[in-house]
Amino acid sequence: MTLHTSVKRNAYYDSVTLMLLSRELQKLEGVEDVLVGMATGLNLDLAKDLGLADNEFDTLTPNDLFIAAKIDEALISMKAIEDAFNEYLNKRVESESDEDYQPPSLSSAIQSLPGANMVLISVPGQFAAAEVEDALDAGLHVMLFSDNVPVEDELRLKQKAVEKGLLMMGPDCGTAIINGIPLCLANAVRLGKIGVVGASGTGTQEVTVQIHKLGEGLSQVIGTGGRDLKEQIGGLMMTLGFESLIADPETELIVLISKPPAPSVAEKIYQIAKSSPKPVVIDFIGGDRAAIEAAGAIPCISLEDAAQKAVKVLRGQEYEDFTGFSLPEDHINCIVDTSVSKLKSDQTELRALFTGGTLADEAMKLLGVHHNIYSNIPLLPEMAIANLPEGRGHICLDLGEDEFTRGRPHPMIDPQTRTEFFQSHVDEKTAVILVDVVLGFGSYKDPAGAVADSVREIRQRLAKQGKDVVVIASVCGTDLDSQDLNKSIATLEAAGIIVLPSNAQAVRLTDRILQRMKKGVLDVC
Amino acid sequence: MAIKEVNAITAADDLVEFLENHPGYLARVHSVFPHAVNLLIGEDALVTLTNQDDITPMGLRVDGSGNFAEILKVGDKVVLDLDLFTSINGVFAVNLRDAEIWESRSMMSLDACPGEEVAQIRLNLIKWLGKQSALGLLPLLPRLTRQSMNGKPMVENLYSRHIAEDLEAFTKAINTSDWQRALNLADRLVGFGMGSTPACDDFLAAYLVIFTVVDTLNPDRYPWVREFNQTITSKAKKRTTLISANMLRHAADGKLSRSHQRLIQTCLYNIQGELEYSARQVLRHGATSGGDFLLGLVCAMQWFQYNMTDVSKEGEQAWVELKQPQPVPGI
Amino acid sequence: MSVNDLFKQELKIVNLGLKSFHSDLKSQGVTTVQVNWKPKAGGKKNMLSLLGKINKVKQS
Repeated sequence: MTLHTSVKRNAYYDSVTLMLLSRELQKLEGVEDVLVGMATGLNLDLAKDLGLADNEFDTLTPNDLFIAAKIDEALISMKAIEDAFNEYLNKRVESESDEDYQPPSLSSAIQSLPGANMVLISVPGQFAAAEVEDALDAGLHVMLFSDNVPVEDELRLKQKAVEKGLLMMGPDCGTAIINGIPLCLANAVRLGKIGVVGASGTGTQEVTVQIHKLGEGLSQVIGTGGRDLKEQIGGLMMTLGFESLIADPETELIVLISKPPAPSVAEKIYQIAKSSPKPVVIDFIGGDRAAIEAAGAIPCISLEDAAQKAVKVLRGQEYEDFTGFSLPEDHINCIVDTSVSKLKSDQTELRALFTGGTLADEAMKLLGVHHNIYSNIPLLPEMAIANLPEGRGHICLDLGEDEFTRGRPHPMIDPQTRTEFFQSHVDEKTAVILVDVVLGFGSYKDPAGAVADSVREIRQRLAKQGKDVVVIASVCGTDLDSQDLNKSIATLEAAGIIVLPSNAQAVRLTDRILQRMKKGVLDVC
Repeated sequence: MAIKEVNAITAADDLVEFLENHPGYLARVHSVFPHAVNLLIGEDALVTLTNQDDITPMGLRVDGSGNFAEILKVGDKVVLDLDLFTSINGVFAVNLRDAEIWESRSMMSLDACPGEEVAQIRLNLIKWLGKQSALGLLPLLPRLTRQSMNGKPMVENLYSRHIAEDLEAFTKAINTSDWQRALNLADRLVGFGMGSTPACDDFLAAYLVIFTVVDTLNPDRYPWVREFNQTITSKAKKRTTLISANMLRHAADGKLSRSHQRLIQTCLYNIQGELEYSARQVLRHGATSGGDFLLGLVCAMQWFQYNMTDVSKEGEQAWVELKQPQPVPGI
Repeated sequence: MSVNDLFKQELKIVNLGLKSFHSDLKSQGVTTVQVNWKPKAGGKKNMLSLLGKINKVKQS
């Protein structure tokens, strides 16, 4: 064994690098002992104590780096150790620069990504407007996922966007598919000829999913944010999106989705629809059918209906309102009978627990005709959940509303909120539980599994009282989504959940069961 | 080679003050790391540029992802102005116009948590540290904190083995308020360990900051603090690297890099939340070795919790002081 | 850049906020940059205002 030292003047490395490095050097064949360090007095003392110092050390200053090693020269040379040292340092620098660079601001990100054309913004609402403004000023399209952005800011920013011919999708815009790329919460669907402009996130998702299931695809899906068609904003993005789709050669048919717009805004949309050379399908969920028809557009009764009509018109087929089920009518009757027969006479209530806002809204519209439903998004103010009578009644909740999401992720992203509502809101009086299961990018990795777990737990709880419960679900998702539509359906069915192919059908089945319960059980098929 | 111009995102307030008073200052590149550059000011002060998510006292956080070693080399001259840094060879410039100014001593104006809360945070930090890879001085974590690490073996290294006894004696001396002994032992610590800030310096920096914090919170109650800190920093001037001596000087002044500052805020004031996140940032960032600083911090926190418990309650202060005599160290 | 021009281009996306949106895009091979976003410190002084002040002092 002989002692060798090597010195690098004015060389600086952080301690972690040197620690890992000396471990590597120690592993080399022929190295008995190695010490790496800055040549401070104490470090040199240590080297001396260990017998790893030589005369050269007397000339060193604390700003020099030394490597001292006892080696077997038959096996390794000091040069080889130095080479290993340098090679390791180079490797480390490379692996560091391989890491994804995250620029600290929007402007530096734009600089670092030449040709950037779209900015997704999901920072807290109070900071969002300033970022949107910077993005628009830089000439980039914006998708604004954040909510809690003041309506004045929305108006100002959308005016700026329209002036520049830029998209400003949002605030509170959950879904869009641009050039086949799903943005934020969106499903994997095939490319095609149908363009969509939607003011409601899950409503848009449901329509795109149904179009995909029917074998057609989407050219562009543009979100506007929920307030776009209110008087104050005046439908600025709906108008821009609509006109862009009319001008887009890839789009052959256009679907518009929104809650009923302000009358003045609706009028603007109808004017564009009238002059549109492409067919226009409109689902203003519960909107004015006659006015839509007068504008030469095709009105719809549900999200699923909108998808079906779009596909049929595109294919040049006849269409009519789709009010029924995909399954044969007698099969549905059988499901209704079997379900009702499972329930005891004091089980009368509906618990609809939605993660998708528009899906909840659609359920309210379709069920509200026949039943009194209490909700956090009531059809009438007196049906607000706070007014639920002591004797209780049906409840339908949009769990994605701010009141439930404060300080926690949206229930589509994290199922915890709904899991808790299953525990707190389902009891021995519950007859039917109705849920949505939304798949796609950004959604929870296994929403079906989370629902199935909750349902099993409830069934166990109710079984102690000799009771069961009817659970109905629809899955908003496709075979291309990472969560996989068919796998999700299988998971739900394995937990005894009745799965319908659309939200509208799930709601309709719920309606049939509730109506049948009112009439009392007939014979079971 | 085209000029590489980057924007400064954040500038430390002490650097801004320096620039205001020294327009057109000519500095030299002292040392270059992949993500940081030190510029030498005068004989022994440094300005640190980094493009990582951190900033040091007398520092500048700049934009971009490049490797500084590919642009600058030791000895390059850089002209420092309040709005622009430019290297004389024309290859590099930093635009300061849009930078935010960062307060390098921002945590000094707050009231600390009660001792029991600090104790709990400290235990959580020890538990977390026990799970990290035991580099540098970290193998000494169980020994210095008297906490078992659930049977996880802590593999010692040459440095940690060599310094174990001295470090233990040092923490004991501090905990028993034996300041003179602590200072004598510091002779065996300053400059010891690997890296451009040797491990024991990082360890000591945690103590110096905590001392300055309590001194600021309770002026005149710990008359030894200034002298103690000054003695350590003047020892550092001769015994350790320039980079490390700078860090200790700042620490003695209550100044730390932003990631270190956040961690201290989490530990003593329980703000900024997310202990693990703050601790991980310290482990990740900066040219100093975070693990050794963290070890120093959990040791210094023990002293802190002994001394800060109930001090805010008037009337008990005298009793606490009586119980904890505070001899002034002789220099 | 008009919306219809965007339809003809390859999307290149800057993401501010939820990292999962960035990783979803990346997993599909979309060109995307995640911003290491932090709220701007409200009302904090910055160099620009300081420089403005200094210039005023110089002029007077």
